[in-house]
Amino acid sequence: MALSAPQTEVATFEEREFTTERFSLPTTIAQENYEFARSQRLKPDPSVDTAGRYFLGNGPLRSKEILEKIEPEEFHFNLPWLPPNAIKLLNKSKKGPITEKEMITLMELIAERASEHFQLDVGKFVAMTFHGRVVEVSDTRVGLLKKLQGRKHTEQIFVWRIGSNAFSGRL
Amino acid sequence: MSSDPDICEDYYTRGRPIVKAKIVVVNPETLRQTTIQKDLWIDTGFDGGIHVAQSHEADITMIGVDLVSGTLGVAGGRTEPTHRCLAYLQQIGDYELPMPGIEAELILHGSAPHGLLGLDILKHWIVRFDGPNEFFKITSSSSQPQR
Repeated sequence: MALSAPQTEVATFEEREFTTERFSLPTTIAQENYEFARSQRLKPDPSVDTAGRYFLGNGPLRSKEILEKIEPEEFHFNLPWLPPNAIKLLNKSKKGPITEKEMITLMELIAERASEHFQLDVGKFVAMTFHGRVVEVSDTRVGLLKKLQGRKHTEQIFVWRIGSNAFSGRL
Repeated sequence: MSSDPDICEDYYTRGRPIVKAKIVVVNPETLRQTTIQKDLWIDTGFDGGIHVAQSHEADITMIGVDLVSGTLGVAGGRTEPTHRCLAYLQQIGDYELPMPGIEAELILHGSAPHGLLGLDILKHWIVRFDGPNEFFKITSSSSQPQR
């Protein structure tokens, strides 16, 4: 199955570069697990003559139908590395408004995963998309806002201070 | 005793060190700008730049500036979602800062009638509080403070 990048992932030079790198990496363990599970699920039982058809449950199904119904439980092609809770909230936000608490939880989950993945230093000020891609990093709040000023982003972004629960506020 | 140039000084207002400020937000593409004149509470417990009421969002988006989502830590340890952008502090009290002003984070949140002037701005100056006399003084100094 071919991986395809959404249109929004190839908007800027940095993002295109990042996307290319990501898809040129060797397959991850999660991908391998998924491929293995998929092959096992689709493998016909050699002891049964299926007459070229695959069985799932009680009724015969064409292989095309099976492929359409496969929904990997832990591996999301567009967001392979975000925690399930973040993906649930992201999907919910696409369907309608989410509460302030849910928005903060979503930002926390994404920022935590992105800071681990990119090994961002505590105290850095970071702008990232809700898909976890880092847009800009700076040592200061003003430095970050200056970098973002006037730039158009194809995806909504948010700012975060690594290692903190708020970008700024009460000490 | 001090030879540092004065920026502003005043007595507290209703028991708080409050100073008038002029904040400007500029759209760098069109150079359209909007000005916010506000009383700001000098708040050494706030590590951000300038905090003003959310109602100013419309003034800023009207000139085409995109606000960035983020969070703000508020009293009581809670975290709240906010919007922010880059702004310029151009005047404090009667003192006009050299153009284009001090670059600052401008946070839009809540509905308080006064804003906050945080440590990210105060780090540019020396601020002295005279608690018993309810008086404050902001001075500028290019020399390093003595430790």
